[in-house]
Parts: sequence; C-alpha cells; structure tokens
Amino acid sequence: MVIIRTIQNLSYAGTVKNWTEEYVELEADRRTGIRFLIPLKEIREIIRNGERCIWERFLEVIQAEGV
Amino acid sequence: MNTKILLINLPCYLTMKEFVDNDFNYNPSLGLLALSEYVSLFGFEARVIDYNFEEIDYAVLEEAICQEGFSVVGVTVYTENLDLVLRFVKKLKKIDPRVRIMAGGPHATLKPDDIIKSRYVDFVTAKDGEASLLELLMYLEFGEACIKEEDLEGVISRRCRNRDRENVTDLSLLPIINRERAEISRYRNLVTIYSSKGCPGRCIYCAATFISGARYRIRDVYSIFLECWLIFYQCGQSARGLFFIDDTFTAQKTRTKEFCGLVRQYDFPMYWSCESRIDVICEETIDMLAESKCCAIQFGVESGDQEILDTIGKHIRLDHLEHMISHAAKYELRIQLGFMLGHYPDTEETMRKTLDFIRKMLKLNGNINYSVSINTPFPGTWQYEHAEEIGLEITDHDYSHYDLITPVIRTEHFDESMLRRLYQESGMLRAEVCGRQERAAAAEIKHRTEAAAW
Repeated sequence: MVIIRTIQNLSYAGTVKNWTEEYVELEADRRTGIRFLIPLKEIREIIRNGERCIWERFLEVIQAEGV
Repeated sequence: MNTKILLINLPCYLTMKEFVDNDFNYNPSLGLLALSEYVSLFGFEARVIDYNFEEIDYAVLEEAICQEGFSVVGVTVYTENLDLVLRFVKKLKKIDPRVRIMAGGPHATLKPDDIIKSRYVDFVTAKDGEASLLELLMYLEFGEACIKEEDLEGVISRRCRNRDRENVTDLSLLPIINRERAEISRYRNLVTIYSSKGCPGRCIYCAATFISGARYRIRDVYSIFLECWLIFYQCGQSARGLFFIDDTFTAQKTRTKEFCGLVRQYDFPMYWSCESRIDVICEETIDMLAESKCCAIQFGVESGDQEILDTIGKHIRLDHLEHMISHAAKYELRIQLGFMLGHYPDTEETMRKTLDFIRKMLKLNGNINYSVSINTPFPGTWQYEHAEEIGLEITDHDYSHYDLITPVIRTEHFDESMLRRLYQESGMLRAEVCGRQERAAAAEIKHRTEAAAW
C-alpha cells in the first residue's frame, strides 16, 4: 500500500499494479477495480511502509519485490 | 477499507436556516459531496449529512456510529457556527469516545487553533480537503505502517502541527460529483456546481483569498459541461436550474465564451446562474450569458460611493456597473446586487449614498434584486487583521453573532445603532421605488424568496 503525492498537490493511495518509464499504475480500490495512471513526472513524493522515499528507491524496491 | 466516515455540515443560523423553507432550497454542502466522492474512489465509505436540511437526531447518529461502524466524523466549521460545532462534537464523543473527530472548512483554514484547542476534536485540516482527508483515512485504517502522523500534510492533530498542504492546482483532476450521494428527489430549486476556486480580487473584507487561495484555479470546460448534463439527467425533472457557486465565474472571458458556446451548440436544457465581478464583465459577456440560458447573475457592489470602493480594494467602477446594468436591461436577465454597510471609511453620508445608488439601480433595470448586509470582520480578512490600524473597533467577539445582519463593529463615524437603522431603511428601498405599498410588500416577499435561491 502506497501513497503518491503529486505536484498538483493531490494524493492517491493504493497498490502498485504496473509501472513503465513514464507512469505508475495504481489500483485504488480492489472492489471496484478503480485504477489511476500517474505520470512519473507528476509525482512529488511517495510514502511506502510509513516512510517517504524517492522514486528511484521506490522502483528498486517494487522491482525487487515484484508486483 | 473498513474505515467509514460521516461528513457533517451544521447550520449557520440566521444566514441560512431561515431561508430553508419546506425543503425548497435543498442543496447539501457541495464541498462535502466532493470529499465523499474523492475518498470513495479509494474504497472508503463516506456519508454526507447536511443539518441545514435535516433535524439533528442524536439517536440516528448513535446508530451510525455504534451500529453501522462510522468511526470517523468530519465536520465543516464556519466562523459563525464554531460554537455550535464544538458543542456538537462534545455530544458525539459522549456517544462513543472512540469516534475520531476531524474538522475542516473555512474557519479551520483561517483559525485552526480555535478548533484544535477543544479536547473533543482530534484533527483539523486546512484548505482543499480531498488529499488531506484521504491520507488521514489511510492513517486511521492502516496506522503508522502506512503513513506517520507527522507526515500528514495539511493536518493539525492533538500531537503535531504538520507542514501545510497547498491547494490542488489542477481542479480537473478531481472527480465529477455524483449528486446521488445526496437525495436526488429533494433537489427542487437550484443545484449547485463549481467551475473554479479562488478569486482574482483582493477586497479587504473578504476571506476568499485565504480560504480558496489567491490563485484563480479552473476546471476544464468539458468536465464542467459533462457535470451539467449529469445533473440534468439526475435532477432535471425536479430542479429549476444550476447555480455556479464560484466567486467569479466569468473571470476568464475565453473560458466563459467556450462554456456558453457548448450550452448553445448542444442546446443544454437547464437555466443557470452565477456570481461574478463587475470588472470582468463587458457588453459582449452579458450578451453571451443572456443568449446561453444564463438567467441570473450576482455581483458584489458593496458601496455606492466610488471613494469607498477604491479604499476597500474593490477595484470596480460604478459608472461601468451602471453601463452594464443598462445594457442588461434588454434581456430577461435577473441581476442580484449585493451591498454592505459599515466599511471602515464609511460615514452616514457615504452609506446614504449607497442607499441612493440602490434606488437608482432599481429604476434603471426592472430585473434588479438587491441585498444589503452589515460589514462583518471575519477572522482572516485584511480588515480583521488590521482593525486597530484602520480604526475599526470590534465590539462583539461572539462569532455566533457574525451573521452579516448583526452589527459587531463601530468607528468614530458610525456605531451599531446607526448601522441597524440604515440596514432597516435599506429593506424599504424597493417599496419606495415601486411606489405602492402592496406592490412593494409583494416584491419584498419575492426578493426574499429569490435571495434564498441565491
């Protein structure tokens, strides 16, 4: 479960389902299947496991853990 | 998600409650509907209750909290209902001390310390609430394994005062509000909608700059138009029209033109109305609005004395207003003008000029309605922060009296009794202009009904 803050000052929360070099796909609600595609260039901050982390570090972790 | 939230709006007595007659103006808080729409995208159940349109029933609330599992209650706080909110949340905590209380809204943005000092409030959020509420609900659902309390942007808790959260810059990223979150069949008058936030004006008596932000932020016109159609399909049978609650709907002429173009091109069937500023209105804009199903427009004029307007930072010209009012007379476009008595440089003479100006406008255009209020120094406004410097004595600090018709200020040129007297006179201007008392009384009733619609 991650929280992604964007440069538009919005926040999104959910599970990372996929990512490319341009965006991350977040499943916001498992029951409804609502997903958001958030462009990487719009990401301001990521909070994962209660810790803030930068995108590169975040990528390393989710790549290692898999989706 | 397991966390469920009740989003509650309490009445601001006198300014709102008296106009809610037989449910005609049912229109639950758009801000709370927007918040519930946003957090529901992420799986949180949110229910909106607006006590402007319901009687407060603590048995129902107890059932929601204790039986249905609504463990979080969010309350909107306005300056004038602060006291009511604090008494309300105290009762909720007595129903179940475990319920988490969060407060947001205008007063929470302007004076959060007034609220968090109550031991019955757990969190206060400032400015746009969508992202702050989502993060807070994530924190309450998953705890610090998800986000630490001190990392909740824009949130003040009993333990920490966190960094501010800036307002959302691109409003088009927010979801379109589904009015089914309210009771569709109860919409009978105007359905509120917003197309922008913030105001380009910097009037010294207004807190909009501090609440909605100094930057004028807009939604994409197509998104707005889509929402208009959604409202039509949901409420078009019962509701009379739409009301854009933006501070300044017509601030950008190209955007106004684009919206009006869509209304005409697709023959949108509902009438609509909006608020604006006279300095962003021209003949072409009036023509566009009138030909695009806009049936009413509201302007804050505030004074009939140009020097007063210049001093209070209103930056509008009375001669331009008169010209626009004359131009609009050829259409069936209702124009609501708002005035205030008791600006800090006001004297009896300048306030009488305001009353004279209203008389003049009523004669100029038969579709004019007007409302008069008494200048009230809301916390967060420039005039409140600089009251001493400008010679404005605040004589009443009980916020529950800040209802725009109770005088709470005086200067060396006017006192409360003068304001009360002139305010009472202002209610009879239509009677004077219409001439006959019977017609005037009927018009006054109509005026009040229409004022309620605004």
